[in-house]
Amino acid sequence: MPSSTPASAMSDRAVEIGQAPAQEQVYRPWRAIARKFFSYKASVVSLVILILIVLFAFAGGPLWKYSYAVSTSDLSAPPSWEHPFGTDHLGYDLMAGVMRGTQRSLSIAGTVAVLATLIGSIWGAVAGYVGGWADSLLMRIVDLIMIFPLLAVAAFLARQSQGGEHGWLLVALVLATLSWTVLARVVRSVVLSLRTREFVIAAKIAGAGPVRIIFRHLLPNTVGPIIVAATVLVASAILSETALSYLGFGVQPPDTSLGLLINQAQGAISTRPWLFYFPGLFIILIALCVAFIGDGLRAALDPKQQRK
Amino acid sequence: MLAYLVRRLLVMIPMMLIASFLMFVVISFSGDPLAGLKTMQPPPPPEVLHAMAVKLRLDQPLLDRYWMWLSGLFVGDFGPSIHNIDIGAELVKRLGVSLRLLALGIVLAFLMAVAASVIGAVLQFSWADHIISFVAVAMISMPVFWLALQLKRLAISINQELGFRLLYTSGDGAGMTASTPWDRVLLLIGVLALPTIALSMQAFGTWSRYGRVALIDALNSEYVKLARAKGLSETRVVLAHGLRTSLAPMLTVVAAGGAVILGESVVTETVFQWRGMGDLLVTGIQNNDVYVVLGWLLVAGLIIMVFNLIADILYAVLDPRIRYER
Amino acid sequence: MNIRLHGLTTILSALVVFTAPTAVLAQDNLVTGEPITTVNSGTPGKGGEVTFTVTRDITNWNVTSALGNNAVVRTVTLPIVPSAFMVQPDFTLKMNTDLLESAELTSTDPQTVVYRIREDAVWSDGVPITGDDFIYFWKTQNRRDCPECLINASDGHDFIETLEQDETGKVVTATFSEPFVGWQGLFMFLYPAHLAEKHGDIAESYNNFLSNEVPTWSGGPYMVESFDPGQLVTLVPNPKWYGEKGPYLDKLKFRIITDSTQQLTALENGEVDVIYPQGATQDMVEQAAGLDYLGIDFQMNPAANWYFMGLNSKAGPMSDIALRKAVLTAIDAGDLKAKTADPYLRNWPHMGSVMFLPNQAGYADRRGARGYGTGDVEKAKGILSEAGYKLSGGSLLDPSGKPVSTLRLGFPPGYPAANDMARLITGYIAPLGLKTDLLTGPNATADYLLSGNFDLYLSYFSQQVFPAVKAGQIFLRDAGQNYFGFNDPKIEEIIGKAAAASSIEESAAILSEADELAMDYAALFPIYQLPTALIYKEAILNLRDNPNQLGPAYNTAEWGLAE
Repeated sequence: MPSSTPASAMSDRAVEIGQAPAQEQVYRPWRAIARKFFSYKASVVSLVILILIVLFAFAGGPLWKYSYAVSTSDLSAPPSWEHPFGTDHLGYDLMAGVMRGTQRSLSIAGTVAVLATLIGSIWGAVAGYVGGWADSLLMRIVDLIMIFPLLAVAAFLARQSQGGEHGWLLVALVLATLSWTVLARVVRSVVLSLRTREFVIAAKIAGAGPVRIIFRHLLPNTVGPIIVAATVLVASAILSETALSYLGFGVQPPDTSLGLLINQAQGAISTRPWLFYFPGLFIILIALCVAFIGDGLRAALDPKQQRK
Repeated sequence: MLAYLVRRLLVMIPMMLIASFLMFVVISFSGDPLAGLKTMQPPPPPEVLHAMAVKLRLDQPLLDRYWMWLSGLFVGDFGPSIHNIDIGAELVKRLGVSLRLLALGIVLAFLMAVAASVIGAVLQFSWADHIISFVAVAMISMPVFWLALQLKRLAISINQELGFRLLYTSGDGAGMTASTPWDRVLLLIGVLALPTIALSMQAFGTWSRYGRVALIDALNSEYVKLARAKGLSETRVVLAHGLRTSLAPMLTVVAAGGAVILGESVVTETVFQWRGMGDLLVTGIQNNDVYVVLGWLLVAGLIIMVFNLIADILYAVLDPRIRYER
Repeated sequence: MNIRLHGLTTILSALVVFTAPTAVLAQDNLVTGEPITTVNSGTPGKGGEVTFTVTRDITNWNVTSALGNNAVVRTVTLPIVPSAFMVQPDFTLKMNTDLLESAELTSTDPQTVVYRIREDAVWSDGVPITGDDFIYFWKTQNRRDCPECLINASDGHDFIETLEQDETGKVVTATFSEPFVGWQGLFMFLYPAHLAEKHGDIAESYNNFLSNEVPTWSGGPYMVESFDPGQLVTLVPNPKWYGEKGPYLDKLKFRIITDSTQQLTALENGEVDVIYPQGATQDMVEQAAGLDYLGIDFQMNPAANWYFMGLNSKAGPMSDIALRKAVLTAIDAGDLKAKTADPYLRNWPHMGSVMFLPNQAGYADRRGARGYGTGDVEKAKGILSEAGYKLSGGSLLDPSGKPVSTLRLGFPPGYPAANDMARLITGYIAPLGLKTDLLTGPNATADYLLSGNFDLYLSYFSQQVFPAVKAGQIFLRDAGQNYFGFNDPKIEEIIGKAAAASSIEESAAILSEADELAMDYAALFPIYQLPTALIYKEAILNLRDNPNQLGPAYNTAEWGLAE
């Protein structure tokens, strides 16, 4: 597959001259990447499971006979054919609750992961590449945001809003705003070690502007930590929301989320365990699937990665 | 490097000013500190409420209040709290408790994370790698109170097997008699065991994920390929060269995580009943006790900034390619 | 090996419980069936330690001050502070025979009470307990002698006009400016006046010495040995204890554990001996029942706190009495109790009055008598249509044709039962065409309730021994807890008369009328009482649930371990 960037053309020339080829990212067509991805069994299985979960959450609600907002007369029923996940002490069907909760949690986690990854990676790459006082300014802003406790901001916003249908979006935005900082620092540290490399210098000599260098040369080489961050963010977003609702600031009833469900079931772990383990299972499944998909993605995108 | 260090330390002062002012505004508009009193049954008489408002300086304008707090700091006065505590003394005490709780856990988590990263990177996509990833992700996605509960259950079983109470499920050992040095050691183990395991499992989860990927990238880098080409043994390549360059991103996460845990380990502190910094923050926020939160911010903020600074310095030390001067 | 097996079995057993049908709630270790005032009686042996768990840290030791007036401070200071009368588990007031020989109402016009303090009653430093202590306390509470004293409530001490003692100091005479039926509730906590006057004037000693310093004095069976802030209070016997019985224990410790789930595991691990979690939940009770094998018993009773839903009769859609009555009629209180209480609370009473607990004189089911809480949706719709409301397309239209705005139902966080009830109530009133948004969070009370801009609010009230006193705190026009807009001068008049009655029975009879009027107002809907749960090692004798403000620590002099 012909590579089309001048820098890579340059590296070809470097090979001709007999020097060690400058290591750099070459964009490969997606088909090759996809083929590579699908060779990783764990990732494929995870992708399938995740798709099933998404279907369950978003399409299952209207299809299931019980609504998450209507209480039945079966109080505290353990799992059965009638109620596959059991019911809580008020007779609310747990499967309906888990569907709805997964919807919310996926929405929150997805929003946080996408936003925080975008902001954090670009911020860190710019800071690491540009250096100097701009780097200092950007990183001091990162420090400032890191200092701010999530709780305080959430409490402040909880007071201004007051729940409602779109309370989850606010939670997601708050979480996103406060969690991109670690990724920014990680990306910056990787970029710092990359920017003195030959391929970067070569690209600059070839006349590539900073934007092109950042987006086509530096960021792709940080794809490893970026993907890990995105996957970790998914899990930690769900858990941060759990911590927030533990203290009353997250998603509010009657809306539900996986975090709210497991909080409400905290006392029931040994007495009515289904109330806790089903939502908990979904949290872990989502986190695991996203993590293994991420592993596969990262390996597929990384040209230096040897196929196993 | 020295100039860099000095610059970074100096810039912390304006940063703390900005952060503390923003936090002051946020908390002041987050709720009424007297709400708890006003909703007592019955509520105190208006004179009492007024006296409390004066004590908390609520009759003064916002900027004056901030200035009073700031100038108070120079004489060691951290401001009035709703609950009549000496905020300065409380901070010192709580910091000690948190550090005691975290120190062991962080070290443990770091060691486990490094080991897991090595296995994960060297044996990528093997069964060992999958199992470790599974455990790590499970730790990240598992709520602390569940992990704590299982640990406590286990502890109770162990105690019953042993016939005496070795492991404690809550508290920091206050009021327990420990006469001999051996008793003291046992008490320390008994009280620290569960919280340390819970904390380190959480941290290990995140750190090992970053470490694995960092090490994979490092092992594929030309720097390591060069080392291999030089004929060094694989072990030496992995440990001395690969690990060293992968430490930079990993240290970032450790530095960030260590400081974050200080504030966000609330649930852990509640579950194990340690009166640490996280607990202080939460009670401060729930009671709209603005000076308590500001006190927390001073301590935690400084720690976070110092940790980040240390991490930045260590990058340059560990990775010769990193330079801060242009 | 064994350890791992145990860990494995705990996880496996969770899975087993998971799949097996829930067994009927066996509660062999529920102590019940005896008069609530003599449950768990016995003669203990001397010695031993008991660790009682409390749920908050102690930052203020003054139990009558605004900041110190909470259940934990009360529990911890009851063993060291003498009281004139104490509330018993059956919600009556009994004179403290350790402190007083007699306390008599000698005249009704003007009302005069004479206290005779026992000769042996002394403080822990040997100084006798005299009228000085009564007078000091009265001055701090009556809002005249010490306006700067940061008290919580005068509780009627301001009705005492003069307080005098004789030369011996042991006979104290209180003359009232107006008749007050609640005189037995006065002087429930006394402080050492002779120590207070060494620490500044009245305000200073009250606000600083008594509030901020850990008490080194005592007038009760125990005294403070040490305080580990945030963790532990240790009490040891007061060598100068003058009472008839006890103290039996070597040490009485109060352990601070703020989270009730953690309290249970601490009890299971033997780190504490007694827990008294606020707001017992079904899971807690089930777990307590399961701790039988460790020799742990538990007692449960309806508390003096009762859940209510309040309606804002001053503003918003709820200012129309027809809508209020309809809402109250549509609520199915029977279903509510069946779902939220009956699964784990046996024979739990409804609450049909807003001024009396079911076990207080004057109680009657005035709620049911008006058809409130019946869940009769048809009747509710009838009330609405009579008042001009119309149901159109699933929404309710008010008489002017505008749709009724979405109601907001707020409740404080930390009460799972309130959460449940709120959800259910939303369902009960939905057929009337009413939509409801739930609102909670740490600022629910402050922002929502106190601002006056709310529709519905679900919470609980703490009932007092004297219904007239509590009614005065809720139903008077300028009362501190009159959130719901009670504005009836007739109710005020009756409450005033009831508060001035000469006996509890007379007061109750008078107050019943006010209860009827308040129920007619339809702004306050009583639900049922909260449960208490006292979970403890069965070896501890005379440890008894006291489901009112005083709590189980009312008789620590008698606590001890079985031989």
